[in-house]
Parts: sequence; C-alpha cells; structure tokens
Amino acid sequence: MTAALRAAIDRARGAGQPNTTVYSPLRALGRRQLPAIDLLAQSLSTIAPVTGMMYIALWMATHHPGGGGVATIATTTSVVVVLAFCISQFTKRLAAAGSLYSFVCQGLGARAALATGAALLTGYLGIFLSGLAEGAETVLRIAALLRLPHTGGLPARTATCAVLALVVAVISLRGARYAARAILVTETCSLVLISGLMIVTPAGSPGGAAPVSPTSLGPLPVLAMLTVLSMAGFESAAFFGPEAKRPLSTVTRAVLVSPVVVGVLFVFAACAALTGHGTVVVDAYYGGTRSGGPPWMVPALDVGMACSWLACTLGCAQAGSRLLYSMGVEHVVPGLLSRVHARLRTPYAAVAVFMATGLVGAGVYGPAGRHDVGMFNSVVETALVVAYTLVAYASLRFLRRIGEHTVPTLVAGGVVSALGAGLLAVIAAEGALHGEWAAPVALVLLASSGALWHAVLRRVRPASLTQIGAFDSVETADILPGAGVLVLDAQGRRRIVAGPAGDCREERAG
Amino acid sequence: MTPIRRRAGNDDASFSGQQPGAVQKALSMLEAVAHLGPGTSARDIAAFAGVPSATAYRMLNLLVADGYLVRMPDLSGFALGRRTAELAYAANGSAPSSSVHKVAEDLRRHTRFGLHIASFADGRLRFVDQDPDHDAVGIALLRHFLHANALGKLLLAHHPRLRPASALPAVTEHTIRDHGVLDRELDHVLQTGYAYEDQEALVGRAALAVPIRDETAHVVGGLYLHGAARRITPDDGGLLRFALDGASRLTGRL
Repeated sequence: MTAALRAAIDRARGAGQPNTTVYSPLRALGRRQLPAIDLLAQSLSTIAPVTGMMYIALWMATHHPGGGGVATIATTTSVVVVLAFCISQFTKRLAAAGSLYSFVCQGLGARAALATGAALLTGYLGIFLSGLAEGAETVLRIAALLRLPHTGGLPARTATCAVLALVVAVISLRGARYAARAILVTETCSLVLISGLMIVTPAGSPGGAAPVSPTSLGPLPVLAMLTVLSMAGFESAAFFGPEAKRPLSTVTRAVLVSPVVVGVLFVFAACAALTGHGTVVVDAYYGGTRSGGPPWMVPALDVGMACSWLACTLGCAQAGSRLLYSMGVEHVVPGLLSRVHARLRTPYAAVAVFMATGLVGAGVYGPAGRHDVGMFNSVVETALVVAYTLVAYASLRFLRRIGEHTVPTLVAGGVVSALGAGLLAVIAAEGALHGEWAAPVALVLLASSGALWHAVLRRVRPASLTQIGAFDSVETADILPGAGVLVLDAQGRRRIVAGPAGDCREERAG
Repeated sequence: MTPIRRRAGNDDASFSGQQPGAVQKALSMLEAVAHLGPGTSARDIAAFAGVPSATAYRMLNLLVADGYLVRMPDLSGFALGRRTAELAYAANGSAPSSSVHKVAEDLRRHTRFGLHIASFADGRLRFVDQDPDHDAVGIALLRHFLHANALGKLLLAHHPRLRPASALPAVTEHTIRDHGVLDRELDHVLQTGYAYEDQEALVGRAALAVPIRDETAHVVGGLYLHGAARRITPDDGGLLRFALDGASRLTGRL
C-alpha cells in the first residue's frame, strides 16, 4: 500500500468522532432492506407484462401486421433498452426516492425536474387509475361468472374499486419488502397462466370481437406506441434506491434487465398471435363466454388478468407514493406528505394521498374514460414520453457536469433525446391535424408546468427551491474518519470539507 | 501488497481473483483519492492512476457501490469511504481478520437484520465489522451509554469493573435508570447468555447481543443484531439460536 492511502487509514484510526453527524434526507424510509429480486418484482409489476401481452396479441390478431409487427416490437424494445442505459447513468451514481424527477434535477435543474415530476405523476396516476378501474371490471366479471348478485352498475363498480384500493393501500403500508413479495407472487401467477394458455391452446382463427380504438397513425407506429405504453414503468425500481440493498448496483441491474425481459415476453405474445395460438386466448378474454372457447378458459383468464391489474396498481402506488414522499421532503408539496410510519418505515401520508386521488380518478374513468380510452391513453403516453425524453437529455448534461461522459453515453443520450423529441412532435402534429387535442394540450400543459410550479414555489416557499433533487446522499458515518468532514452550509446544502488536520480544501464545485 | 490484493479479491465478486489487474487499478484509484484529497473528480483520478477514463468511471462506480469511496454531495467528486479502513487490516494482518469478515458476511446472507461484530478489547467497545447494508449504529452513542444497549450490557456483565457508579442517564423513555434494575438485568445476561435492548438507545429499534469468546472461553466481543422493535425479541428462539451459532463460529477469531 502506498504512502497517501496508508496515511489516510492511519489517520482514520486516531480520528475522533465529528462534532456533528449529518444524515441522508431520506433516512426516514426503511433503508437498505430490499434485495435485487424485489426491485425486479417492482419494475415488472408496474409494467404488468400480462396486460401488455394481451393487448399486443389482440392487436396482432386484428391488424395482421405479420413479421413486420414482431420486428417493430423488437426495435421498440431496443430503443427502450437504450433509454434504460441512459437512466442507469443516474442509478449507478445516486439513489433517489423521486426517481426520474430527482435525476432530471441533477442534469437540467429545478424547472425541468418539476416538469418531469408533473409528467411522472400524470403517467403513474393514469396507469394506476386505469388499472384500478380495469381490475374492478375484471373482478366483477369473475363475480358474474360465479353468478353472484349485484355485479353490474355504478355502485358495484365503485365499491369494488374501493375494496381493491384498500387492499393495495394496506399492502403498500405494510412495507416495501412485503409489497414487493406480494407483487412478485401475483404477477408470476398471472404470467405463468397466460403464457401457458397461449402455448397450450390450439391455433384458431381470429374472432375480431375485440375493441380497438381507431387511430389516424399507420399500424406499425401505433404498435410501437402501444409497446412503449405497455413498457411504461420499467424504471420504477429506481424509486426504491434508498430502500434497496447495494442500491447503486441492484437498481441499475433491475432498470437494465426489466425492458429486456418484457420485450422478450411481448415478442412471444406477438409470435403466439401470429401463429394463431394467441387468438383463442384473446377472443376468450375480450369476447367472454360467447367466444366459443373452452368454458374453463374465461374464468382462468379473468383471474390471471385481475392478478396482473392488482400487481400493476400496487406497483404504481408504491412508485407514486415515493415520488410524493420525495417532493414532501423537499417541501415542493406540503411537508405532510413526507411523514413515515415509525415502525413500518413506509410513507403512509403519501400512500394515502396517492390512493385517494387514484380512487377518485378511477371513479371518473370507470364510466367516462373507458368510452374514450384512446384519448386517455394518449395523455398518459405523452406524459411518459415527456419524462423519458427529459431524463435522456438530462443524462447528457449530468455526465458533462461531473465530467464522466463516454462515447456510448453521449450516443445513447443523443439518440433517445432526439427520438423522444421527434415522437412528441409527431404526437402533437397528428393530434392537431385530426382535431384530437388531448395529446397536444397535455404536452403544452406539461411543458409549462415546470416554470409555473417553480414560479408558485418562489412566491410561496422559496426555501424549497434549494432542496429540489434530494437523494440518499452520503452520511457522516460513510466517510473514512479523518478523510473529510460532512457539513451543512448556510443554505442547508451538504458539503465535504477536508478534516481539521488536512489542508482545508473544500469540495470542488461542479 | 499481496495480502491487500488477496483481501480485496476475497471480498467482492466485482473484483474477483481472476482480475488481478482490476484490483491493482482499484487500489491505484483509492491511492489517487487519498493523495488528491476530497472532491477529486473522476477525470483527475483516472489521470493520476493512469487508467483509461471509461474503465476508471466504471470502477469508481463499483468502489462507491461497495463503500470504499463516497461521492461528494454534488456528485462531481470523490472522498475515501469508511470501508477503506478494512484494507489496513489486510495489509498488517491485524483484526479483523478476513475470516471474521467472511463469517459475518455469510451470517448476513441469512438474516434481514443489521448484523455487527464488536470487540471489547481493553474494556472498550468498538466495531470491527459493521453491516454495510443497514443503518450505521453510532458507536459513540453505544460507548457513552453502555447501560442503554445490548452490546454495552454484555460488556458490563462480563467486565463488572466497568459498571457505572454515577447516575444512569436516560437516552429514551425506555432506558434503565435504576442501578438495582440494571444489576438484575446484567445477572440475567450472565445466566441466559444474551443481552437485549428494547428501544432503550433509539426509539423504534431493538437489538440482541451474544458474547464472542476467545480460545480460552473469555468474552472478547459481541455479535449484535439490530432491527425494528417488536421484530427482534429474545422470545424468537430461531433468532437467538442463529445469533448463538454465529457467535460460536467466531470463537477465537477476534
């Protein structure tokens, strides 16, 4: 061992404890508990690959894009993997409960972070409430098959939504690890069931009984968008950085692996539909008992899909509540949202607020949104593409700021930013040309939300502006004694300064 | 140099023995941070260590993930991390030996609670192997309030001369403040072979400590299991057995 390192270690032995101990701002969460498998479970459940597989199989069966469709899904998956590579540049370097919201702040500053936060909240809340409404619908279909009374009408749907939301809330509050295990079991059951059915059922002719929203775009771009929407949430393991064991390694792996796994499943579903195996399953799910399939298949599919919807809502509630918690810690939203249960270490206030909002949304979505599912999806889709585009661009700026960019990171960031921006332009132009204003309006609102939110905060809570981008930062105990002292400066920012025995060189500014 | 390489190789799958060059580079980067001081950028470290920048960035991320380095709060530079101190033990062969760390890591794979190994050498409480995956337990807090934590009680029970004569300060509302109650508790520790704290040092946290002995059966340290109150309890026979088995595996290794 060379002199400087040996001297630093010798100094550590003689060094006393620092006068003040500085902790991570996210310390209240149950830190460093989740193993890698639970992170993967979180990502996979938020994506809910089973529902995506059904949509893709349905789409392949009704539009007959042939091999081109499979190639489109594979290509779209590759782009999402490149996006995951951009996100992994952050997850390798910081663990943040705000995920993309906190990452964007590191690269593009507070306004872009707030816009990303608004986009993520819109996206996750959208997926959550549609998952809740669809889950309730599926549960009621199972109840109807069992010939239970009162399975139709608004009161039954509302009550089922409320019960499902309660189940999700209880599991979320019980703890991240418990929720992740529940998610893993639920999602695996439904995945095995649906994949098994797609393999064992004989090839049938497409029934065409399924509802597909009309669209102005060509079939393959729509399939690409469908694939992106079905993969939404692949990065949701990043919300659990502070709660994961060895987060910088495990979260990165989960973010990179999830889109690959889901892409393979989607290609499998597309191939099943192409060879006719998937059509029996699709017809049975969308056509019910009238589809003519085996009588046991309809309830089996409904149970599998209900499990998947439940896992999806659970994944979104977990992710959305961490985002709100992170914003609560920064006082970007009321500080009440940063409250954490003393024993379970879960952000109960954020969970409650996210669930309540989602439940009201599901109540509205149930009767109204389902009739115009295309419009609803386009808003959610736009929000997610905004968030993903911003994080890809932020990765470029972030790596440049800390001086750690390489050729692959530059290429990945550049390609995904350009594709994302191009996609947003196409969505806006298509919407404007065909008089479907939901997506362009959502785009304008989200783009301006950052500046607007920033202006409101500057007036109402100016101190919060310096806190945006909180992450699980280094603590006093993490630093080798004598190698530096973690201090809070006048603005409350953390800095590491050389110890009293050192040359008092301060942390270098970026 | 050799023992350090072997130590780093044993420790971490990221730097396995098949990559001696990687261990060499990792050490040279730690050396660079030690030499250049806190706040050194990745580019400066790569230049100082003579490592290609892409390799350096990848290895720096691994070193941070494993706690040998920490990133500055603005993420733009690096400082030496707590685990760097472990390299010194490998270099001069002093405690904790690699076997203590190996046993501790093996035990950690089988529990969800924080597992820490402490030494009582010279009648002084100090950690020799802290669980990197759980909340760090403040050694100063434990050392100052021996009567308020399981490790301290274990130390006091086996080293009666250290028992406090002055008033027992309250750390939380659950802390034992009466000398008579503490004496009975320490007798209980000697009789049962374990010490327990229930929210006495930190509200919401409980811990169990069992003695680690040397070859002559003297108590020289403790194995400390730390976690949420009500989850850690001596009534959990499986947990207690796990701790006692773990401590017996560490016999003669401190």
